[in-house]
Order: sequence, then C-alpha cells, then structure tokens
Amino acid sequence: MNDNGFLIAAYLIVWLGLLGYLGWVTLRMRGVQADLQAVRELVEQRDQPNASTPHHE
Amino acid sequence: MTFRLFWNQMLAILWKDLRCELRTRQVWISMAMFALLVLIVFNFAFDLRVDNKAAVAPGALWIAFVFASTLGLGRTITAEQEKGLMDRLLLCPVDRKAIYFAKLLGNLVFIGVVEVIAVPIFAVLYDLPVFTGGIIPIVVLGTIGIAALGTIFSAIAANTQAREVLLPLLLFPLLVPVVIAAVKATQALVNPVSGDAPWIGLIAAFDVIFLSISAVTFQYVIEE
Amino acid sequence: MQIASSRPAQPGTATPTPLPPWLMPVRRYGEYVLGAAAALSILATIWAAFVYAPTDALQGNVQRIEYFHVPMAWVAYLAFFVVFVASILYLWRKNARWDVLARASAEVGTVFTTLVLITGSLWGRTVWGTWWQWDARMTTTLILWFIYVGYLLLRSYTGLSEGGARAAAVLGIIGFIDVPINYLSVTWWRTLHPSYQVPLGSEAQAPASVVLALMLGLLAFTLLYAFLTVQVYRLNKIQRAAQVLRVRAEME
Repeated sequence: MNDNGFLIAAYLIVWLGLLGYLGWVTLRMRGVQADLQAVRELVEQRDQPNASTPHHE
Repeated sequence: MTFRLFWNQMLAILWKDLRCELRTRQVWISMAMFALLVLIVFNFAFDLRVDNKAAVAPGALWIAFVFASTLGLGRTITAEQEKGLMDRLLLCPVDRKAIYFAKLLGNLVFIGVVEVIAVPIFAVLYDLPVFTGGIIPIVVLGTIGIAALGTIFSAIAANTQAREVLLPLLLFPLLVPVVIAAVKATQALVNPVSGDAPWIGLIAAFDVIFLSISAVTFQYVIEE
Repeated sequence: MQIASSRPAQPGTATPTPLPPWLMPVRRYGEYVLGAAAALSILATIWAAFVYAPTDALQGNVQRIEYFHVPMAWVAYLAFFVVFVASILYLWRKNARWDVLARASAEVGTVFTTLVLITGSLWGRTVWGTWWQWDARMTTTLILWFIYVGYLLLRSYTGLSEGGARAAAVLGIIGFIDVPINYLSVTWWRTLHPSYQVPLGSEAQAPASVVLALMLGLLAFTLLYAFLTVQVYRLNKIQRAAQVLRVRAEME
C-alpha cells in the first residue's frame, strides 16, 4: 500500500527534524561555552593587576 | 491624570505629527498612488470579468488598503527616532497612552485620506455599488483594526535595523482576522448572502481587544 | 549597575570572576533525569504507536501519524502559551529570566509547529487527497507559524538588547491573543465554502488503546518540550553571561 510510504516519510521527517534541531542546539551550546570561556579568561587577565581594588564600580 | 490633560497631550502630539507630515506631502501622495496601483494590478492579475468581479474585487480593495497602510505606518516612530526626539518626548511628563493614541490617530488620518480617495475610484474602476453608506462602518472599523496593531508594531519594528521588512512580516499574520472579516463584509455589501457571519461584530471585537492591549503595552515598546 | 546587582563582589573567592550559580554543573543533574524520562517515554510512544495501537479501519496504517502529530500540535500551543505567560511576567517583574524563557519556548514551539504542518500535510494527502486543506485548524496553525517565525526574526534582529526584549514580549502577548480570534474568523470564513469534513481521529468511539497511545504521546512530547526548552534556556543564559562579561571586560 502506497499510504505506508507517507507514514514512514512523516515519521522520518519528525525524528530527523528533532534530532537535527537537538544537534544544532548542541553545536550552539558548544560555541557559546567556548565564547564564555574566552571572555572569562580575558576578564581574569584584566582583573589580575588590580585585584586589590575592591570593585570597579 | 485627568481626562482633560490626557486629551490635551494627545492633541498636541497629534498636531505636531500632522504639521510635520503636511510639510512633506510625498508620503500621502505615494500611499494613495500605491493603493491605486494595487487596484489596477489586481484587475490584470485576476482577469476580472462580470461573473467573478463581486467575489474578487473586495479582496483587491482590502489588499490595497493593507499594503498602502504599511507604507505610511512605517513612519509612525521613524521620524522621531532619526532625530532623537523620542527621548525628549519621553522625558516630558506625558502619559504613554496619550502618545499611543496620538500616533494612532495620526495613522488613522493618514490611511483615511488614502481611503477617501481610493474607495470612489475603486467603485468607478470596478463598477461595483460599494459607494454606499454601508461601506463606511466596514472601512472605519477595519482601518482602526489595521492602525491599532500597525501603530504598535511599527514601534516594535523600529527597534531593529530592518524595520521596513519586519513590519509587514509581523503585522500581516496578526491582521488575518481583520482582512477576512472586512473582505467578507464588503462582499456581503455587493452580493448579500443570508445567514452570514457577524463580520462587523468580529472587527469591532478585534478593535476593542487590540486597542486596549496596545494602549497598555505601548509604554514598554518605546521606553529606553 | 545591573552587573553589580546580579553578581555581588566577592573579594575572598579564589577566582576573581566566579561563575554565576546557574552555570554550575550540579544544576545539570536534573536535566539528565528529564532527558532520560523524555527518551524513555518517546520509545514507549513509538512502541505504542506502531505495535500496541490497532490499525485504523478506515485509514489504515497512515492513521498512526496521529500519535505524534496531535501531541506535537498540543506541545506547540503549550509552548506559545508559555511564551505568552513569560512575556507578561517579564514586563511585570522585569526579571530577565522570563525573557530568556519566552525566547527559548518560542524557538522550540516553532520547531514543533513546523513538524506539525509537515506531518499534517502528509496525513491530509492520504486522507483528504490534498496536500493542503484550508480548514480552520490547519490555517490557524499556519498563521501561528508565521507569527512566531516573525517573533524569532525580531529577536535575532534585536540581539540581547533590553528594548528588543520588551518589544518581543509585547509581540508574544499580542500574538497569542490573536490566535483564538484567528481561529474564529477562519472557521466562519470556511463555513461559507463547501468543505468536506473527515473525522480526524474519530475520538468519540476510539478504542481505549488509541486513547492510551495518544496520552502516552502527549506525555512524551511534553517531556521532550521541557527538555529542549531547558537546553535552549541555558544556551541563552550562557550567551547572555558571555555578553555581560564581554561588556564588563571592555569597560575596564
């Protein structure tokens, strides 16, 4: 029956779509975590010389 | 805040906007010309004949109104933002709702002028008996619906660099009920059908709901 | 000012800029539990949809699309309801976490709406014989999809600015309130046209196993939605934290 093809297509689209989305979220998460790490190191470097001052504000 | 103060503030802002726009007449003319062009292009696109005219023509009229409106709506906040006047306006002790209603009325005047020109020409070009008293409530209520959301969404889109593209993208899906109801009500005017849905009531409800929500939330959009 | 209030200065700690508590790995424990629960219930739903539930007498095997189409539609509407509530809370409480939640939920909801439209179209092709039927439910879902794609576009244009967040919150509120009006108008519009009504699931006389499989699907997709939203929420928070730190680094 040809209709089963539609069922399989719908099923594949749903799970490939959701897996693809999950993969995309993971990739973004990795990128943004690397970004955060880089910025943190930058801030640490800047904070090191004037660590004795209580706060910059 | 007394009502009188609110009223005065609103009129002051409205008057300022209208005077600015009167000085630059290009936008008014562009909007009206655009609305007419849409009507004419529709005529070719749908190959209007006597038999399908009554079904298609009201759609052409409302597409012309909505498209022309977005041209003018984009200017709601832009002029202020370009010259940095919004910050100064917000520094004044003005009720934010007064700003919203002033902007809304300004847009209504804008679109209204275009419609006053477009409806008679539409009636002539398409040879339909729409130029009757019945069209007035439909056009007025439909225009309020377009302007109520259009005013706040032009302020929302003004937050971005791509405001000309974003405004219709955000506005058109939300205006679907108004467009459907207005087109159907206009069709009923040309070709009355019994047992039709209360389209005018739907537009009126839409107007009341979104006027009140927009008036309340407008302050969050414009404040820095 | 905002930085100082969100993260008080702690001169005694080892690192000069300690990570905010919501970034600590301990908090992620619950996410693994949630993810595992979602995965297990999804496996159970797949089993229920293809093995446990009986083959539909009228539509045949294709009806099994229902077991993930309907739950996804429910989750999509749930997601946009969450956007609506979070947007109100953000404007009211002015706490950035509600904004982050609204943003995450809108993204996940849009993904689900896209899949709902695709599966609905495939299902409709077999049952109705057309890829698209301008009926009230499908049309409303399509308009919904446009509204929230616009929402995400607005968010990507405005970045992480506070003004953009407030504007998006207003869109999140107006967009959701527009949905029932949309549905009403499209329903009235459709009633004037001859449209053939095919009972979608014939829920009234559906066997208990069908209802049970649907319920399982609802549970599974709601868990999946919660898992995805938490992930995207955290993603947005880290993004925000990185930006705050960057601004701070550039200020000094």
